[in-house]
Amino acid sequence: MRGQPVRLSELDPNFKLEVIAREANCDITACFCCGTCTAGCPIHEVYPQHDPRKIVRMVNLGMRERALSGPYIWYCSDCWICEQRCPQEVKFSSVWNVLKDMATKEGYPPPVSINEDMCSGCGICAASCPYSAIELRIQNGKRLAHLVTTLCRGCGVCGAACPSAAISVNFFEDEQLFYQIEAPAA
Amino acid sequence: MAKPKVAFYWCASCGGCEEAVVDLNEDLLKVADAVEIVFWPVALDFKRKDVEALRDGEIAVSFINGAVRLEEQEEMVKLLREKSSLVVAFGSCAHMGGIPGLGNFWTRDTIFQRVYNEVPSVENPEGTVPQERTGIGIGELTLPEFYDTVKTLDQTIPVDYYLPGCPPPPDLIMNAVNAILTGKLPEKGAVLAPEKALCDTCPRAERKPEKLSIKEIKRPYEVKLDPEKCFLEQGVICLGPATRSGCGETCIRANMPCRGCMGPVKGVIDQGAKGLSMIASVLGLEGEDEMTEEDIKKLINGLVDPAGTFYRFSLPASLLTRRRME
Repeated sequence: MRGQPVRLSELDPNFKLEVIAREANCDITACFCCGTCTAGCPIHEVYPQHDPRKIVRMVNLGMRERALSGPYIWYCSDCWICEQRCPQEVKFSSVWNVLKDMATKEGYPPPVSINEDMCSGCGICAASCPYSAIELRIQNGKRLAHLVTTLCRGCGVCGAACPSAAISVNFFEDEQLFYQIEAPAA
Repeated sequence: MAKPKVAFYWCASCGGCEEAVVDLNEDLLKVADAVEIVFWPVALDFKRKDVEALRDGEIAVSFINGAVRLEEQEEMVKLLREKSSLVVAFGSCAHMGGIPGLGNFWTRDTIFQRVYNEVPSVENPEGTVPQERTGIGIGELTLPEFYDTVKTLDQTIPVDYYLPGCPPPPDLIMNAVNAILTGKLPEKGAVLAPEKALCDTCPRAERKPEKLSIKEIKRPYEVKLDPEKCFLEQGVICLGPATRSGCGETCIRANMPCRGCMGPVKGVIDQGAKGLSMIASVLGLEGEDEMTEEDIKKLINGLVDPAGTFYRFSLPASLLTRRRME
């Protein structure tokens, strides 16, 4: 996205107010972009595109579509080191949840995908999905899990339950989880 | 042209992998025709010095089964690695530690205590246990060290390919041998078996329920198993969803659930953790809102020996590796 100009006419000045209205402790206008959040973020180590400071900046500037449609809000793996370290006490845990909720409601599906080459049709995901967003369909005589994106809320239960590495959820890959485990110790 | 040289070796194993080679039946004659076997302790009278006399890399491929438990095994596999162009980890124990790997829930001392003192059929009033060095009148007898921790083959030497299974099925062995003889090998480090999980080829897949939910966990002997129904539907832990296919579904066809010997599917680091999270995801799913804490506890307690169930073949290769040493 580097190098793209921000057009004032495309900004939504009410976006940050909507976010704050959703959750009382979501006041991100306190952010002065010091970058402490990004510096401590274990996911940023693996995926530099995931940059909490930038996302908060986007919201403050009113870049609604860019913030909600991109995959970046889904990269977060909820460790909240950013929240603990923020000198301005921005409640990232609430902000991220609100942004994810707004994204799904505005039709930007969470980045969940099922790899048909790995799916064995065991049905564990379909059974455990709390939103009934996974259906088992017969393809070429074999059962395969199929994601109904409009129902998916990106909770991640299927990805944790899938025993055959066929479901990828919100960038919660093993590598990210390992970084997350190591981060507090670093 | 000289025939490619092949070696077979066994470490901590039961001998079943050697049986699997014999199970090739007539195909074994074709293999014996196409290669020169230079080392095979279970069947042929070659000695260690015969291997030592070979040039480095002279053996085209060594098939090594069993986990690494003893000092002697470590020495031998290191020697074979030097002398071989390719090393194939043959069977579950070499691949992931296998059944001997469950010894990692214990230590050398606790294992010796059990085996040489506590087992009801053992009479050992002096509490004698094997020693690495024993002085006798005319000199000293030595035994290889028995390690505290069982290792997989690739935790000991670099491994080129893996043939999974307890034991590996004959068709996968023949495919591997043919691939090696013709040089049509996948990238190094590959597991020479299909990538998908066992449910993909399970003969019971078609009759699987739309929504799995385990009401009560049962062990196979506690229930009259319906030979048509999915094991999980019957409350019996089956690791099929978390286990690589390619075994020929022999256990399933004998009406026994999958125990996971083929290891995890491609991309999974820890098979046991996947098995555990998969069962946890469908345990008591139906009617879970009405369940009390007591009900949940009872349901979970139905799972006897979770570590042994989920890590039956893969403990040394897992993230856990072993029980923590005090």
